Amino acid sequence: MALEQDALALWQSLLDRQDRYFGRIKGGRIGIVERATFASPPGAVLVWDIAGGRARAGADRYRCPGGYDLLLVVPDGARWADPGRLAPDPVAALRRLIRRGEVLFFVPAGRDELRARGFEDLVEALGVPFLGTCH
Amino acid sequence: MRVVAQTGAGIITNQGAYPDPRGEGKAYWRQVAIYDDRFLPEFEVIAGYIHEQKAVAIQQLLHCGRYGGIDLGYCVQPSAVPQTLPHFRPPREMSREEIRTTIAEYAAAARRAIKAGFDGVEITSFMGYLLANFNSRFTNRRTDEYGGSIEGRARFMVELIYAIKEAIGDDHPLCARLNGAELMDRYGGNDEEECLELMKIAAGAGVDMISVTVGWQESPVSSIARDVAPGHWNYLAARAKKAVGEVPVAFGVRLPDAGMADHSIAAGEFDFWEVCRPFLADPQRLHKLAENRPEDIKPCIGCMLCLSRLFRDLPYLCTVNPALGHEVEPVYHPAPAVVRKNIVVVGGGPAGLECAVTAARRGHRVTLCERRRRLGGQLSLLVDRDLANRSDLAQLTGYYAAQVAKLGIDLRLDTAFSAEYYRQKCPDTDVVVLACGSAVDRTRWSALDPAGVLLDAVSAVPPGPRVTVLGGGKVGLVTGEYLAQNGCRVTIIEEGRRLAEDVMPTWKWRHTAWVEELDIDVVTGCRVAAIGPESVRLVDRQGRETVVEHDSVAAATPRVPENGLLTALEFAVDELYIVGDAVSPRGLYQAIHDGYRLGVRL
Ligand SMILES: Cc1cc2nc3c(=O)[nH]c(=O)nc-3n(C[C@H](O)[C@H](O)[C@H](O)COP(=O)(O)O)c2cc1C
Repeated sequence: MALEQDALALWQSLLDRQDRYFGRIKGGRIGIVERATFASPPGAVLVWDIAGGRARAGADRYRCPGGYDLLLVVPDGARWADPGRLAPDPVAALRRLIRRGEVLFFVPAGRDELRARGFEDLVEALGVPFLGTCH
Repeated sequence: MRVVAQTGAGIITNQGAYPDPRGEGKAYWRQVAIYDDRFLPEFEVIAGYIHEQKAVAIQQLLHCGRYGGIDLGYCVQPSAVPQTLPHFRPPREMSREEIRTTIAEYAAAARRAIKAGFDGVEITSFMGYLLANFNSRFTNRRTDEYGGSIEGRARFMVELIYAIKEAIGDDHPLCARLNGAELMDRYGGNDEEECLELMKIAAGAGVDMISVTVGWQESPVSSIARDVAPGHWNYLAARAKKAVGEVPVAFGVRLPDAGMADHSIAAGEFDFWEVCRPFLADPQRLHKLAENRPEDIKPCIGCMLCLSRLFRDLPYLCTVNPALGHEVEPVYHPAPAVVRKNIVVVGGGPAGLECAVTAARRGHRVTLCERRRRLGGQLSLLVDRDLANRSDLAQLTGYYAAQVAKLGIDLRLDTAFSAEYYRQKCPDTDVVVLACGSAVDRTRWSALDPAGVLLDAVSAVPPGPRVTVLGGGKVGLVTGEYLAQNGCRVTIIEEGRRLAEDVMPTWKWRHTAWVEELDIDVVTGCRVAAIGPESVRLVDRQGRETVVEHDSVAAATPRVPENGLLTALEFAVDELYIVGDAVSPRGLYQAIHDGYRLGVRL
């Protein structure tokens, strides 16, 4: 996933329209990483750094653990650098992909910490029950 | 535990006890511990209860691995693979030293269980616990001798089996619960072939019985919930039976029906039928079967209230068995009535039915009035519309209908109960129980609906092809899903921020997944501004307007109690009570529990 400045600017403009998902979060980091990188780091990771009710898109080197609160592992391929794939609502699009098993969802942070920082709505919007367990 | 011992089961396995003093193996509040001799007295009592009933007593040893460490800030695993559900603790990788310590703790715990009087012990990988974490490709990424190939990943299990066998000797059986399917394929978990291979390895290492389980806590699809049809997983047991040769196979996941189990055993699919939740629903079920009264058995509806509560750090309850967990409290026992009363129950939904049946069983004379032509109240809505396995719910209404008939309850269907009706048709009544349920609060919408087009989502099936449902709680979801499955184009509008807020945590995902699969449009966090015959107008928090077009519109929310008779009857009857949704609209379990609690004390 090569993340050029142009792609990051597009990500940013997409995220700027998602305040309803990030408005309650008191700070956190979401990582989006390809499977190959997840399996054998390091490599590129797209990060959404959340602060002041806004998510800022950025590129970083994927590390494990890397301080991510939520981690989305996407299939390998350059298309993931293209935010158009998840437009207009990246959270709803990710929810569908998680449900279909195309995107893997991980929660590196602890539950109480996530709750205290206001992640509950976002986790549920991604289709993952915040407190649900056994099916 | 005495109730469990009296179920009539031939082998009784006590719930998994964690074997380590650190609590890394502990997955839920009140999970029993077996890491020290100071716990022996409690285990002795339990083994004693089981033996009193001439059953074989097995103690399960359960280190919960990935799902453990509930009182700690972490859990331990073969590798530090992050969690996929927020519920569990962040992982730490176990060192070789820690692995060996854990195996030694298991062996000591096994010895302790036998010392307490148990006949044997069981280790379990159900449902994604430490044993499963080692066995699985998903959570075991180790490069040392405990990882890698299937033999490497199975090494922990094999060493565990040897250590326990050594600790308890050959006279005491060791059972292993192993996954027939993990349902973690998308995360790179074991496939069914690898699961079989692991069973063969366990059999080769000397286990005396294999119990086949299905799924992990975090599996993205259902393993034991209501959307899995009874008998669905039997094929896994049959395959295991073929694979493990002489070692007996036990099975019972989502197999609540004794007839089906008998048939499977006769067909050689497995050797022992395992039962868990059906016993929670009705601990007397085997005795009732033996006495040829299957109609008296309360069915397990697979609703998962038990496990939902367990993983919310609450004692587990059963929707259909209000006495579960309260067996030692006399107020939960339906003792014969001291004074035989004439009782009229108004409303044949779950609260009214449970109250009527419980009171009649105690010797009261009960009349049950229901305004519809059928029993069930809102439960019938689920029986008609729920996308999960409806026969479970139909069995519950069937159970109540059979009890009403058997107990000689005077059933008056199609009866509009009123103060007038009461005066004319219910002479000599001592008690009236109002169990009239709830209805949509039409006053909430009337000003927005000048044309009067809004339907009640419970009492009417809104005609398609485009339907708008107001309310994304369980009634709205069940209705919307049903309509979508029947070809309608459905939009669910929820004024709150999230769907399924009144759905229990283990079942929420099912609704959100159905909504996705059925392509239902959802609008949350907006206000309904106008309702018309062809559309609704919505306004979001920023004041932006949207119009959703439809052919019909139905409201599932807000619900208000149907308690109008309370005032009308206040000075008309000696004792007047109100139960279920008529007190406050809630769910099936609260309705049944309300009805029961009143029925036992009238
Ligand atoms: C409240 C509850 C507690 C359970 N605890 C354990 C346990 O400690 N160890 C275990 O191996 N399985 C446990 N299980 C799983 C059951 O043994 C069983 O495999 C599962 O519920 C499916 O069978 P059923 O359809 O008969 O309920 C538990 C299940 C429930 C509902």
